[in-house]
Amino acid sequence: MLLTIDFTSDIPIYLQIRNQIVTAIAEGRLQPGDRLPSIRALAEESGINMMTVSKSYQILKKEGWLQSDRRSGTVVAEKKRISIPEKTLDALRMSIYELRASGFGKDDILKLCAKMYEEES
Amino acid sequence: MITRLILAASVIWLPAVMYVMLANETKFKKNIAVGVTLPLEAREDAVVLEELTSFRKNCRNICILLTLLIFLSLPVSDFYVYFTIWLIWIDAVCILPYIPYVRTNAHLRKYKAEKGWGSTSQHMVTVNLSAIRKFHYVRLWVFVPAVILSLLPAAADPSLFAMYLLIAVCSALCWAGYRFLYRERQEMVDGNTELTVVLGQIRRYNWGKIWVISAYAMALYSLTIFLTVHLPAAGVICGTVVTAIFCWIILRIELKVRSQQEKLTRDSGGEWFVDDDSKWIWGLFYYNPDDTRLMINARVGMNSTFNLARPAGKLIMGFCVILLAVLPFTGVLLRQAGEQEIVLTADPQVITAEAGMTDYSVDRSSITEMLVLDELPAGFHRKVGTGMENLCKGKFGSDDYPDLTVMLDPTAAPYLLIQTADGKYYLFGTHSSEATEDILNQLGLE
Repeated sequence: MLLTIDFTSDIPIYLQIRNQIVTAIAEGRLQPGDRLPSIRALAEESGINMMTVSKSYQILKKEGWLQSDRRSGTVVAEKKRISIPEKTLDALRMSIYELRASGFGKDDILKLCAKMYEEES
Repeated sequence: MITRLILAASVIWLPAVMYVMLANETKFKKNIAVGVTLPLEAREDAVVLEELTSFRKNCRNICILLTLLIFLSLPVSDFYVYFTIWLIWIDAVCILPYIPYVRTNAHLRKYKAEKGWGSTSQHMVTVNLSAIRKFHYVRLWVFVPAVILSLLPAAADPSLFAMYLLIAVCSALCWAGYRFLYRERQEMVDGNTELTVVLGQIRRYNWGKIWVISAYAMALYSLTIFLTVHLPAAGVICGTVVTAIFCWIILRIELKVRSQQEKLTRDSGGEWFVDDDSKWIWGLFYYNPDDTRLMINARVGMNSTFNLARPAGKLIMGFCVILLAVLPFTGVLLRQAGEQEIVLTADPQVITAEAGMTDYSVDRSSITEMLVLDELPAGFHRKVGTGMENLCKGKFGSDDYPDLTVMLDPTAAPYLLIQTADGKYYLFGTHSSEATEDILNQLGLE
């Protein structure tokens, strides 16, 4: 899995890492049990501060995407239906408001969601 | 003249090695040639090939010229002037061949931009998570015997303990260099995970090999010094041979790594490939303010370099530049050192010989014997100290007197040999035979 960090992006680096790992899990590029590099190794490879990588991993563990294994290190967690974080719901809600404000109806929004889901599969 | 020939011989190979290394830069390794990342199609591009051929030719001409220059300077009569020219020449070898390199790098970059051959933003980095592997370092104990062997001769020859200790420290520093001058970073060329892993393994393996060899080469130097301490000419020859073999091995390893990188990435540079050109100035100097690390692996081969965006990187580079700039002035300092006046004085209590900041004093009450030598003793050689054309000072030895404390001009006999009650020997003289004879007369010696 290729991880690309854009240092000029408005998105904080830890979030970029988090988002790309979640995307990779969603697309099947990362499977449950797949091992991720250690915080130190990823920091060394990318030149990013270790604290930044650590923050990203902590968020992913807290959200249930990753888990720590004493033998294997950090691995992708088994798929389970997780409760949607409040932040994700807020972002979704905002996106829907913006689409409605632009004149999109309920069916249009649902079709758009279905299309995007298929594209990313 | 012998000294000049030895100095010339010790560096005559430098331009050839420079040419070999720079000519090697024209071969595509990891999609990079002369510090520019180019796609697969560029390897058949006429303009690119012409640039690379032209670079090789210019580089070759500069290196041939430099080789000739070292011979042309041999007839210079003043040794210190010759030495200064020699030092300037070393600077020239380090800098001049890179002029065509920088020019070719700039031309290729410009052509690459014109062809739209893609580049990555300076402010982006891509990491292949699947290719990150744990680096198992060579164990410390592998280096320990080398350190012990370096120090071992001191047990048989304590007079040179400082020298053997210094060599042992250098041997130990090889472990430190191995451990801390390496960046655990993957050798990503494109999205091929297996290729990335293999390239990383090649670099790590050979990195370890070089430092282990270096540590044991230090031990070999120690042994060479120990075996040839009484045979200065043999010492120079053996030391030179050891250095030559060591350099040859290192060069071979570097070229082998490059060859492997070339072969393994022969088919890379297709759809997507890593392009970090924007982070490298002239393809030579790494400058990436987004990278928090100081060390970075060189793009090809297995060397390491520094991130100039870090303060420590700037300091180190600044130090290297100053070193190169100051190097030629060493000749001037050497002249001053060699022309230091030797002052030999004898008063009722003490006999003193001084030159510059060094002085040796001998308490006259401890003197058991004084002799006048009309020439230097047989087998006179330097152990630790200064051994120049007009000045010898420090610890020397000879066939009859293994440990001599010396302050004299080897071209101006006679010399005063002093033995003290504790079994020490001193050999003094001045730049002027008359001045030495005056002192000998004062001491009642003929």
